[in-house]
Amino acid sequence: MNDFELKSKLKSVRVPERSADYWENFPSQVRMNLRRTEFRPRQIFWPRLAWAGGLAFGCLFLVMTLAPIHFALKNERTIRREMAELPQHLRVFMADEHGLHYLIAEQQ
Amino acid sequence: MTDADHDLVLRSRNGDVTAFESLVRNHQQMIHALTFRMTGSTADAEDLAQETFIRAFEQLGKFNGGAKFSTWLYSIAVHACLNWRRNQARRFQAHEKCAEEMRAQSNGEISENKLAQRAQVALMKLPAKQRAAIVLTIYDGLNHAEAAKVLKCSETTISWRVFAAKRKLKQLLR
Repeated sequence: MNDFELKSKLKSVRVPERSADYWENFPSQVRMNLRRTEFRPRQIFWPRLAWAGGLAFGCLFLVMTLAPIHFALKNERTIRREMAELPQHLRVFMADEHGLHYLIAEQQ
Repeated sequence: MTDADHDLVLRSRNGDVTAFESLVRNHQQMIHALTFRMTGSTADAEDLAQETFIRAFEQLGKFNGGAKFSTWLYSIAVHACLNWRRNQARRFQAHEKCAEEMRAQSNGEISENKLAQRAQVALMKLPAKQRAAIVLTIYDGLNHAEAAKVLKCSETTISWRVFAAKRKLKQLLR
C-alpha cells in the first residue's frame, strides 16, 4: 500500500454529523460551564512578577542613590560645625566605615 | 489570527463571555473533528471539546498572538486528548466504543463503512502521540512545522512519528 492509498483509506473515516441544534447550542453550553465555574481569564503570572521585580529594583536604586547623598550632607554639616568650634585646630578629616574622624592639632 | 478572531480574543480577555461564545462558534467543528479522531468516541469528543474551550478561556492571558488562534486552540485540544489517553481504563474501552459507534452509523452502506471502521480502529491502535501527528498532518492538513508547534516538539520528531504511524497503519489496513 502506498501513501496515497493509505491517505484515502484514512480519509474515509467521517466525523459523526451533528444536528444544527447541537452546533447552535454548543457555544451556550460552554458559556454555561464558564459561568458555573465563575472565573475570569486567569491573569498571567509573568507581568505581575515583572512589575514586582521592577518596583523592588526601583526601591533598591533609590536607596543606593540617596544613601551616599544623605551621608555626604551629614558629613558636611559635621565638618562645618567642627570648623566653627575649632577654627585653628582642625587639621585633617577622614571618613571610613565607622564614620567621620578628624585630627586636632594643639595650638603652637 | 484573523482580524475577527483578534478582536474577539481581546474582548474575551476582558471577560466578555459573548465574544468568547463567538470564538467557540467559529472553531467548534474543527475542534470536535480533532477530538473525535483522537478518541474515536462521540461522547468523549464532546467532553474534550468542552474542556478545550474552557481551558482556552482560562488561558487566554497566555495567548500572545504570535501564532494563529486556531493553532493555539489545536494545541490545547491535542494536549487534552493526550491526557485523556493516559486514563488506561478508558483506553481499553475506546476500541470497543469506536467499533460500536461505527456499526450504529452503518445503516446499509456496509462496505464503505467497514473500511472507515477499520481505518478508525487502526487509528485508535496507534500510540497517542503518533495518532496526534497523523490527525494533524493528514486530516487537518498541517505541515510538519505547524504540527510541531501544536505538539510542542521538533519537526524531526513529527517526521518520525508520521513515518512510524504510517508504517503501522499500512500493516493494520493491509
